[in-house]
Amino acid sequence: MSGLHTWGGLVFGWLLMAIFVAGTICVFNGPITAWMSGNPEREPGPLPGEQAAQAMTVAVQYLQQAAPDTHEWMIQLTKTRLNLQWHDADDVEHTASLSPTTGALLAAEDSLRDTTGGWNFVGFHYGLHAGLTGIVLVGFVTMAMLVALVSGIIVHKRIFKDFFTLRLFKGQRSWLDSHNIASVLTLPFLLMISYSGLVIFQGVWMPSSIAYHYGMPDGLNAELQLTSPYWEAQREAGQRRQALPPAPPLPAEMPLSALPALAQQAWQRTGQPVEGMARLSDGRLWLGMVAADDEALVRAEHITFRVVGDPPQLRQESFYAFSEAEDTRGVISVLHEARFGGWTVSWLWFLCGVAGCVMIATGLVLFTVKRQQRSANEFGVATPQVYRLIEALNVASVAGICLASIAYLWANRIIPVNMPGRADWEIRAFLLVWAATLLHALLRPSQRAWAEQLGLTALLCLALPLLNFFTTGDWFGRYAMQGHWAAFGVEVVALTCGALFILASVKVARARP
Amino acid sequence: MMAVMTSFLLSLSAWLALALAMQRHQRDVLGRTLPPPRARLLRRIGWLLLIASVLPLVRHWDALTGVSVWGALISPMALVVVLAITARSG
Repeated sequence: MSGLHTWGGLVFGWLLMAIFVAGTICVFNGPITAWMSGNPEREPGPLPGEQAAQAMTVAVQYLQQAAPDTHEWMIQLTKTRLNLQWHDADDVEHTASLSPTTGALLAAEDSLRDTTGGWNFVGFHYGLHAGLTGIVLVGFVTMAMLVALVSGIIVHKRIFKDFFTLRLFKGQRSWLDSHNIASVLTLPFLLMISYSGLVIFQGVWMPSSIAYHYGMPDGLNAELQLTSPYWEAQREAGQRRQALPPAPPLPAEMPLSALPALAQQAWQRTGQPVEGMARLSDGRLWLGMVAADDEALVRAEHITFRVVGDPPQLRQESFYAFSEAEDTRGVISVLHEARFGGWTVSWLWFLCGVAGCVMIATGLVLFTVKRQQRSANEFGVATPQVYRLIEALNVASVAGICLASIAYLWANRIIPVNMPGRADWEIRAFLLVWAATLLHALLRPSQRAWAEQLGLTALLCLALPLLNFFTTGDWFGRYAMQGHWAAFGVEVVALTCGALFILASVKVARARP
Repeated sequence: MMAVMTSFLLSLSAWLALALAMQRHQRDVLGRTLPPPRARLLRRIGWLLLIASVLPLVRHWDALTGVSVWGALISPMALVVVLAITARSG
């Protein structure tokens, strides 16, 4: 059991560290995206319900003028902009953004810099930017984490006696204590987060049902495609579950001018803001409301209406009426992604995520610290070389991924705004810096490598507001004055991390080899 | 916010009581050990406070949300107690 924990933890720990660091960061996906886009007001929130009818009038007028022949369109209402999307007679997609009050055409992109933003960390967290292969790899690493957690509990033996024990400045003892404290105290979170992560991609791990019923060999693909036999069957099953009579048909030429009144009605019936309306290519017309309470873990499904009959009227109907099993899975993914409980949960998930990172990092370091005391000679004559490689992989996976993450934010401000494909270059910079940290760790003596990479990470974190000031004129003080707390938070968290990395770097540099 | 703060304080005191019910940490913090009945009392108070710390969260949201938040909230509080004891014992 001890060997399983040691070697399983080491080999899977390298990737697990990167996945955990990215996962911890992407709790604050929204603020990071706001900071990187250079436009902190990106997420305007819903349009108040009483303005829905007027906004719909504006949107409909534009649509009638710009696309009189469209049969497939979508209107999304937000506080500051109406987002329109439609397909013309040749099925080419068009988009436009309007001011909800004046109807004036707004710039298409609400981001001042073309960027993937925090979504880079989300994508890397679940798939390492490597498609289905990456998702499968992350899944195996997650399973290994569950194995390491359970075997760790068994190996530990003194969980309750050492529950509060942290002895510092005692070499190997301190590394073990830190490893134990970080993992034991956050164990409920760690078990929850690894298990729920696997459930999100259940289609990958248990594809047989989807393959059997819908003839789609890889389960995930069935879910990712917008139109597939899987989703058609889902919709039909949902229809049966709701037991609604067949919808009376809409008038042959549905007048768009009837829509604002329907939006007004929907607001009055539910008391919730209208999220938008859409006409699908099959002719069905939908109206959706903004979800009422988004802090509960199990939340009421957000209300949708289907427009039916002549004259057109609202009929409450779910777009997909999910089964209990699917709802359960939905709750598990809300839990994993911290999409409930507001900022309290975001911060708790972040802190517990940091504790998870500390658990993995100290575990990896512990492996080499133990063998520095006395070589276990597992690899015969090659042992020193293998240890050297393990040490380098430790440096790159622990310090390197942190350096790459902050370098990604730097790349966002350094890469010219007008450069074509700059969003891709930001991600490339992230991956290239990570690769470079491995090279650096292989070339430098290990203690120097640790100190230099942690030191550079600290420097980049601490200088982030300066870089922002010299490239955009913004910095955390200015964000605070303008009330952009999300962007403010990004820089303050970067500064805090920078301070901790400085401490770590100095500590490593001064340690006796 | 009040609910979360209350829960923070309750779980913090819970962990502190549970830690002080252990002889090792009595020596760390108080410099002496407590008589066993005292330690038992502390342990009971600790458990009660820990269970009580879920209540403000359940009231603020609902049972399921409250318990889920609680599962992650008590961990950082335990870490605070560990760091405090470590700092105290040098």
